[in-house]
Amino acid sequence: MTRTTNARIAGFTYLFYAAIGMCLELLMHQARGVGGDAATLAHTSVSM
Amino acid sequence: MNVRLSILIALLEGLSSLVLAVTLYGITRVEDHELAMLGLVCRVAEGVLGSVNNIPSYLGLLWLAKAGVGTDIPDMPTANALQAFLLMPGASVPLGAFFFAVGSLIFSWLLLRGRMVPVSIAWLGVLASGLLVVVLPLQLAGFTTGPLTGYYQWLPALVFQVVLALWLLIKGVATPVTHTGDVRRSTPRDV
Repeated sequence: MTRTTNARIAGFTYLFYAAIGMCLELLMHQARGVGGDAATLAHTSVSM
Repeated sequence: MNVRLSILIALLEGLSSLVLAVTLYGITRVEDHELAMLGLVCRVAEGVLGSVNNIPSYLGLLWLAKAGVGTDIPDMPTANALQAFLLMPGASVPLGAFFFAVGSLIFSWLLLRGRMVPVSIAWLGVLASGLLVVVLPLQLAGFTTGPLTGYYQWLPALVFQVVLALWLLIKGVATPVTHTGDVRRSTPRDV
């Protein structure tokens, strides 16, 4: 793959990764029955 | 239903980590092959430890949801105890998070060194990731980290990721420069 293609895929995946991380955190907080805040969502969206 | 969705999302999340590992390696290997490889390994470890590692717990919850039905399923009190165990908060810092921080620091450093993205974005990545590399192990070991305790330390990394993602999508990456300032010639491996 070219560097440009790699960059496009990485850019899309970064955004996708952040979005699904937030979704997963929301789901798990519902399962645990506790609330969350923006910082918690930030944490999970970049690292989980 | 939520648990089933969580399983699917965790799989996608782990896959995303692997895709990021390979694509960022492809972008930065021209600058330093060994460092880029270390970044790739860290991002792979993050995907395996941070996302895929959680799936057995989700499957356990699904199994417990059938409590009292069938012959090989525990009774309700046992099921409740097991469910509490499976939903128990884990370590204060997820294990995969440390590998995420190290991988992100390496790739940010390589992007900065090769001037492949604007210096300000690359520096933001280096600082945000460097902060996590220092703070996360301390928190995992039980030390207090003052005002950085909690999840607010992740906000710079989130900002970096979103800004870098948009830059990569819109502008792509520049050809790395050599340390004398010249644009590095492309090799057949670059394309």
